[in-house]
Amino acid sequence: MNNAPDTRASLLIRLQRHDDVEAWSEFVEIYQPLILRMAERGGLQEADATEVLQEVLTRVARAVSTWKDSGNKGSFRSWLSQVTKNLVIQFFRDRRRWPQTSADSNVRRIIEGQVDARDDDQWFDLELQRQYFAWAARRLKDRFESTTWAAFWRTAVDNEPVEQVAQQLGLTRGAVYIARSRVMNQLRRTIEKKIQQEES
Amino acid sequence: MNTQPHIDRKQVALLLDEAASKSIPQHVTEHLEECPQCREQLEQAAADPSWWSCVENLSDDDLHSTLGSPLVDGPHADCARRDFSDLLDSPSHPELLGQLNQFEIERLIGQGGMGVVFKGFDRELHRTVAIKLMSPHLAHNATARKRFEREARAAAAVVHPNVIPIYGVSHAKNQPFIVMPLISGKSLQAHVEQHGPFETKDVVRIGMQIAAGLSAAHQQGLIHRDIKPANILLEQDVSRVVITDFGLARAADELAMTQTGWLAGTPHYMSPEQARGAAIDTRSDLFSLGGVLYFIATGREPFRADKPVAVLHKICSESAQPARQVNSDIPQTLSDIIERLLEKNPADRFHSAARAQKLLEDYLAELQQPNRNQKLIRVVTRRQIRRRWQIARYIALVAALVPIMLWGQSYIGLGKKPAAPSGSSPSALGSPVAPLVQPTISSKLSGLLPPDQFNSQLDELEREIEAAERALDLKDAAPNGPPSTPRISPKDGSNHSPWIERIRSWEKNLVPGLVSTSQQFFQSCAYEISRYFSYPRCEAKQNHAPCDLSSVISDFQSLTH
Repeated sequence: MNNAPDTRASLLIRLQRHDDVEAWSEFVEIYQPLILRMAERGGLQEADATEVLQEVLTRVARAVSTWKDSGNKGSFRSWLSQVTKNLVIQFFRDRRRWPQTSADSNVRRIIEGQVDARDDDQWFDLELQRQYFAWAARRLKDRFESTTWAAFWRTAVDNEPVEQVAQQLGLTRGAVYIARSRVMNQLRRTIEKKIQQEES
Repeated sequence: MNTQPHIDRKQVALLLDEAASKSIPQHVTEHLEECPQCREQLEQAAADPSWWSCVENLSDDDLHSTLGSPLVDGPHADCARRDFSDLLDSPSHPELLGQLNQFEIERLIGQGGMGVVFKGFDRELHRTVAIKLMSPHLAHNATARKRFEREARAAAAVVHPNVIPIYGVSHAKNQPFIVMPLISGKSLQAHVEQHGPFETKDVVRIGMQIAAGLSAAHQQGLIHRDIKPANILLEQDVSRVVITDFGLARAADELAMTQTGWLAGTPHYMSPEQARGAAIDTRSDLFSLGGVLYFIATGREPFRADKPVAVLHKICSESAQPARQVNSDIPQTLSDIIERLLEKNPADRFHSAARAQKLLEDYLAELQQPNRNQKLIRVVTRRQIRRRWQIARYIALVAALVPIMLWGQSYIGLGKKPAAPSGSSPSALGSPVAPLVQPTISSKLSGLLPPDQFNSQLDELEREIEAAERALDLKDAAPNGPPSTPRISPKDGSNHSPWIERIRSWEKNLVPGLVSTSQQFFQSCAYEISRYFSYPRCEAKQNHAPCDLSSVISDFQSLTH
């Protein structure tokens, strides 16, 4: 069944095409930190978190074999996102359910007591959005002049007062206002473009 | 104070446009400083408030991609501190970890994707054992549990010095476990990590033993599926290797089909068909064996990348750099053997573990007798064959074209030159080339096949050589047949006679139409073909005198009839 030579479903076959390698590495770039943060949130230590990450990514790669090409370009990416979300949430729920899996009993207590599984969905969406921002920020940072970028980052991300940032960067307050909006505008457009590509 | 007019939408768009940055009038920036309403308008135009609030959650760390952190499973250094009280009964002695049925569990000695291994002591039989428990996340699944037990029983049926024996399969607390002898020694992985790559002789000897163990298992219909350096133990005196974890991979792997998931383990030694999730057979283990030999000979995995998925991608799409290029101490023959094992297409590998074993055995014998000049063991890799056939096609084409061109040239009299140098007879067409070429051409052209027919003949021949080789391998692998006869012996020539017929017709049809360089080439092809069958006499001949095709054939016939 899954051995059919024309199974385009296999990620690995798809990966042999250049654009899909790119798709996967972009996918990993966004989801890897997300999964790690989810593991961290569950109280897992770094070594365990890495193990979890590998397992989730492998499951996703496996799940790719169930993908059916609907013919839409880009539908693969959005499908992948949905599957990953389901897998990640399900995976951490399962871990919480099995008392024997997280061998360390302290970890288990943290997982069972403090994290409510119902938040997962919302948390995942927020975290995903954050990762998209991080993804776009990494790409855009070097395209702006360093003062422009700093004006944005320090006021919008680090929440420093505009007055102070303007003074330290040697800009007028007005220039800071314009700079931060400009960067934000670019971020938004970059992310929107990516999402549009993924869903078209 | 603020006397400036508010900013309109057109101006906002301009402000957000980077290209316009130089031309922002001062009064606009000044107005922004004073007017919260316009600032809000500007920010709103850049992105709505939910975006702004999301950005607040970013941190400096996010500017650095986290990619590149190693994802392959590392050593489980922290497993010693883990609490196994869920898995085991409480210990009879405070120094011990716990109990499982009649076994005292002393300590944890290893942990992998599929299970944990303890050192234990059998109270009833008074012996030290290794106990492998299925990983809890697999054991919670009833199907996986059953499969684990079934496969372990199948593995127990393989009795071979190079396969770890299984004392028993049992379960406690609803979890299956396997009892095995405790082997004192290191895995190949650990050995290479500590001491670097092995010497050629050791690589060949280890390879031979792994192939022997695999062959025994394959005859029972059991595929290992997870041959890797960490699964092969080297006994302390370094003379024998033992394959462990037989059949366990399958229990975990098939779990993916049933539902929950699949633990990757290290993907470095997976075969391409396995990586693609396609059907696999015993030849998948041969690919992994190739990977193991590559690793112990060079100290590095054949396919390397920072992410498991990238490794799998390479396995499916790229050829490994030949081992000899990584470590020049590796002889060509060993490098070629490894390359054959690492062929993407299972049909291009050795066709059985038994064949690989026999070849490695012969090769080891050759290595241990360094005084013998004559090298008998050669492996022709598919890459080499493919290259030869490409050259064959090229030469055939040139061979077909050159006479035609020369003939054409002389015929239309392009070579109108002053009379030939004294001593040579002037040609009727006035070309100095013509007298030499023309008589040959006319006779050659009549015997020449059109290039497309020639090509198809070559194709056919290539297929038949493969078929002949397969027949040879299958014969080797057949349990009833003589277990080890990779060379042609007088008795089994019948398999090859159609092939020899083929060469003869090939000679008859093709060779007369060719100029002498291509004839030589085809002779060397014939030589390669005979070498392919490890046919020693021709090899010897090639070393001393150019062998011609018909003598190769008659030699063949004298051997096979």
